[in-house]
Amino acid sequence: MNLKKIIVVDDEEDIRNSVKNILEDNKFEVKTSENGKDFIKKISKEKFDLIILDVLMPGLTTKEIITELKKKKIKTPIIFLTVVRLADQTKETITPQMIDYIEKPFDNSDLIDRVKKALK
Amino acid sequence: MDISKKNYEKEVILVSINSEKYNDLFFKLIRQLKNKKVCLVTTNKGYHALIEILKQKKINEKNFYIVDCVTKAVTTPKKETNCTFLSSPQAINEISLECSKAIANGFDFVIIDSLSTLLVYHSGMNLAHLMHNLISQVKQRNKTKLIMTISNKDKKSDLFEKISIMSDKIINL
Repeated sequence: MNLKKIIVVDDEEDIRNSVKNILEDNKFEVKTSENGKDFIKKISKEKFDLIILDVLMPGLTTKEIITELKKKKIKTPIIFLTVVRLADQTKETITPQMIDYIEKPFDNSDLIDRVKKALK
Repeated sequence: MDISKKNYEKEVILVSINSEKYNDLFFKLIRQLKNKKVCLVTTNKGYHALIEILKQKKINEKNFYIVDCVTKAVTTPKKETNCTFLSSPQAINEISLECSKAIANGFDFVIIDSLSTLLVYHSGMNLAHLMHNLISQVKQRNKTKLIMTISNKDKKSDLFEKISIMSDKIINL
């Protein structure tokens, strides 16, 4: 059986590893990146079914990451996972690729539900 | 909770906030600044989310000028009369410039929310340098008071140690 592939991008190692473990326990194949630059490199070489992306990280901004994805015509759906609180009207303008927005701290089962929903 | 009026007579206040109740305590803190002209530098909430919360908590948002370090890093915001959108929390020179403007324009308070978020993007040394610069301006002008918030998780950081020496008052929430 082909596992769905997800890439988790977060500068915080604890969060990255915890999301990776939760997803792997639920039979997803998971890769991680600690910054936007590394993420762009990985997603240019490999196809993923879903991106889980921290909104604010050192290095490339979300806006720059979205621009890069657009340039490379990568339309993989994105779930934003972040401590940053944005109003719904702001979230809507980030990118059409955004299918969900989860604020940290998150509940593990909620994360899994949302990931499954996104991959349906 | 030690946020009596007396504390606000101090010029430079460092507020360590329990990270588990950060938002609640933060808004309780700023609620005390009734009728004051406040420049709020936000690194963890976008302008619109912040205004929504202020309204929900019945805090008069008209007293606030927002320096939003978040939204522009994510999307292209529309212009707002009571907000400056900075490019990202990484833009330390823009943050410094906006705070200096607020001090020069005689705001009653400049609030940096928070040093902990800025620590993700900058070294403690660079942030201490920025704060030292702002504190000097505050002391020189003798009008604006500076409030810097930090998560209690960062109380053992070098930054906390450096900033606490420069502060007139440290409050634990």
